[in-house]
Amino acid sequence: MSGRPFAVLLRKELREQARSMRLLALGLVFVFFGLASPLLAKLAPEIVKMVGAGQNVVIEIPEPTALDAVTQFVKNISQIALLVLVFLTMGAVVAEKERGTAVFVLVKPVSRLAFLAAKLLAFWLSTSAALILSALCAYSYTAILFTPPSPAGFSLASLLLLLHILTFVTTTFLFSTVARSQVAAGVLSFLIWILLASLGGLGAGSDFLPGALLSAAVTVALGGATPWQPIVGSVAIIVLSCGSAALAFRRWEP
Amino acid sequence: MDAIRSSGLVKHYERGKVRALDGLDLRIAEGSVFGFLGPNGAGKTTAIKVLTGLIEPTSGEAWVAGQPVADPSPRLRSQIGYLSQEPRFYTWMTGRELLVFAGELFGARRSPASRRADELLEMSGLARAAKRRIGGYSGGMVQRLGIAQALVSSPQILFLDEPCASLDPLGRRDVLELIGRLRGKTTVFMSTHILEDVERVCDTVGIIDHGRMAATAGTSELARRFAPPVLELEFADPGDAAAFAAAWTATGHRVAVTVEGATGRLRASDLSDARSEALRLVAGRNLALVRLEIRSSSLEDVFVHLVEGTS
Repeated sequence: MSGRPFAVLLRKELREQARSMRLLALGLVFVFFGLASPLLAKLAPEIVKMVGAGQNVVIEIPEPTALDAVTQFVKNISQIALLVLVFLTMGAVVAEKERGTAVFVLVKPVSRLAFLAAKLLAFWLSTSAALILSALCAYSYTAILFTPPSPAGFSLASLLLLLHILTFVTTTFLFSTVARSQVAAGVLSFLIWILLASLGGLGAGSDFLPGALLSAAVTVALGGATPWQPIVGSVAIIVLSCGSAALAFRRWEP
Repeated sequence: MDAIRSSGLVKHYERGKVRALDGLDLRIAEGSVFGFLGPNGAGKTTAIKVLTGLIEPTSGEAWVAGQPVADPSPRLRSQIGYLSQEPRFYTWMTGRELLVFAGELFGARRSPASRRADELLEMSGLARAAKRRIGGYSGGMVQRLGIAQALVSSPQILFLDEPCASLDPLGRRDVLELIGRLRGKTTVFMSTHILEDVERVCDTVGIIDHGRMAATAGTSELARRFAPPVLELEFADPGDAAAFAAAWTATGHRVAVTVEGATGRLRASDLSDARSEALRLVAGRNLALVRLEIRSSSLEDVFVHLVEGTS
């Protein structure tokens, strides 16, 4: 894979994301959840009390802490923001195949691997940027509303959360490479998401699933140890997805 | 030296049920403008996709600019330009951005790529639309942009799949003139079903049918070799033409007659005997003959003759 065409392709991908508003949409969603999560954690007891008051029920809820803010942040990013991310990623390759623009690039002195790698890296970069921004918002607001967790712990937790969402961005990218339509790519991506989530109840093996990164993120944010199993499991899924995508795309005939 | 060469090129789809190419043999001389003719579904686009390395052949071999196409390397692709049948580009880019991007993919730095983009925009008549998004271009403008991007690297070999498909008459004239100007410098491989375009610009023609080459020759030689001249007899009245055809058939002459409206046609490599016989019949039956002409066959005649002959 030659460096120069790859850099040209990567620049094009990032420019496309900026022009198509993908970057803006991603940034807005992630920043929103970064800000809203600590606030929701802070207001949750009040909201529950208000609901209970209307029904003459007294509900005692302990005073929220930074743990609740981090839990809320991890939950929102790993569910709603990830849902948006899957929608924005499912057309990555298949849309170019459908529109015929892939042929325009692939007949130039560019390898298929460079074409895929530039796309995937652009998606990883924009996702990472959005998460970093979101994490900064979440940490700052958590620090204002609660006793803040250690910056190192919160950073590590954010990295685990990033690995979780990058795992699903990569599986979605794989399905975008092998599927014949964007809808099929989206459906397959959600199915694998549901499948991996539902396997969470399987004894020791479930420690290696990307879902375990979420509970680990909450623990790590408050000073707990970092488990290696979900990191290894997620990296393995990413490597497998990248390899499968490269093989499938090499065989693709326009 | 051959710029393009293929030997027994086969491409099957759907596990052999569809034979898009069925032993295609090609030899195209360097610097020539080659017209690749064939009816719809004959295998023209598949052949171009194999030769540009976009798809792999099921069997057979091909070389483009001396490079094997079976395992297409960036080196092969750096020597070719390609315009697809229905070119599609990034609609969010401007025409100029697309050409700069294409130039950079060939390894050019931004500044030379920009200069080349400006040259090509001028040449393709898109200079005024250079800063407009491609999404707002008409079909003809996209086609012109397609030709410009295919030329971005000044390729040794240019593959054009139906280059005049969506152009208006002026655009078509410009593109054909441009192709003509490339003769001697660039080998042009142009697929089309517009016979007039081939006659205008190509010096060699290949006719493909059912995935095989039915004929390859120089444009004028093709007619001589594959479709004999025609004796046309135009009568004042279609009834006379029909009467002539009946009389001709009754003579038992080996040359068959066809009638279309008021015109009768006899096709044979040696028409001198047929002409005397035809004139005798016309005079003998007092038929009102308006015109008698021996016409050499057109490319269309060759095309119909070869394609109908193989189907």
